[in-house]
Amino acid sequence: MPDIFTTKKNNLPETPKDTEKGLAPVLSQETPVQKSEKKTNSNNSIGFFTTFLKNPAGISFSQQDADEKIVLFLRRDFGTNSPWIAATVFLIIIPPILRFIFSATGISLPFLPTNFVRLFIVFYYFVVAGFAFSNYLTWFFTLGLVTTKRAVDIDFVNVSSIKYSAADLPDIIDAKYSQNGFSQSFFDYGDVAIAIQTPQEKLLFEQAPRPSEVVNIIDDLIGPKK
Amino acid sequence: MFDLITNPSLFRIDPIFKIGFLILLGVYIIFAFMLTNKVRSFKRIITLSTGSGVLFVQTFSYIFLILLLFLFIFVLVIV
Repeated sequence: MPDIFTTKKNNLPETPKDTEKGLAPVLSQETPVQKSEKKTNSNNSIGFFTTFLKNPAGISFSQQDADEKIVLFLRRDFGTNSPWIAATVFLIIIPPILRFIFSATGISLPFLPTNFVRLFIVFYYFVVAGFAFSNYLTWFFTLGLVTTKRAVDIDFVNVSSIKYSAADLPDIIDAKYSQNGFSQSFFDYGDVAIAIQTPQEKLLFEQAPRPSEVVNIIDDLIGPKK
Repeated sequence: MFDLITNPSLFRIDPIFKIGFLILLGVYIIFAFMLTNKVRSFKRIITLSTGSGVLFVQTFSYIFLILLLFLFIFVLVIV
């Protein structure tokens, strides 16, 4: 029976002989550190509704350097989506409500052919789906990233424009946050403003969750204030 | 659907309504196309893993566009 706990001489790599004896599977098992890293990575993968994630896995951006690591991933707090979600629900229930009102009161729209109304309702629900989807996209693609080298702000403003801004960490002077109003204080989200050396320029992570933590992370990365 | 095969005239509407509807649909198809393009252009800036929902977003944008095109053809040919 092979002694697998004996230290190998001179740390020599595995020989085919060892493999034949069935040692390879034992030695190729992950160490606790590797297991822990793997677990961290699987826990840090970005999901459908992720808004705040430290050391995210499975994300990269076009200008990322090989030795650059993403430290923080941010989206707007999910609570900020409530207005358009409520509007979508309201828009969905409007046609049945109107139909009920028209049938209850006996009102009809004789100038609109029935077939047209049918088609229009189909189109209407397409519009509602488009409205919800474009709002979801705006939230989904409006990202803030803090890496070991820079802070990146990507704003998906509307269907026709994307705004990409980045500032290198040495250029960052200061990071501040503000929470205004009841909902921001209650749900713990706010605007994080990153001042950079270029006058009148700043990066803004709007309605970011846990803004104090974001500022702390950025402060730690930029080091003592100049 | 059965009505559509046996008696397509059930879906006919006045030409004025039809033209108006086609214009509306056309404008909306442009919007859907812009949305799809936006998703594609975003993928060039940021690469997200599959589980992040990016696949869903992209698939939904294509399905949305295809369904709208289907509706446009339906109105153009059948209605």
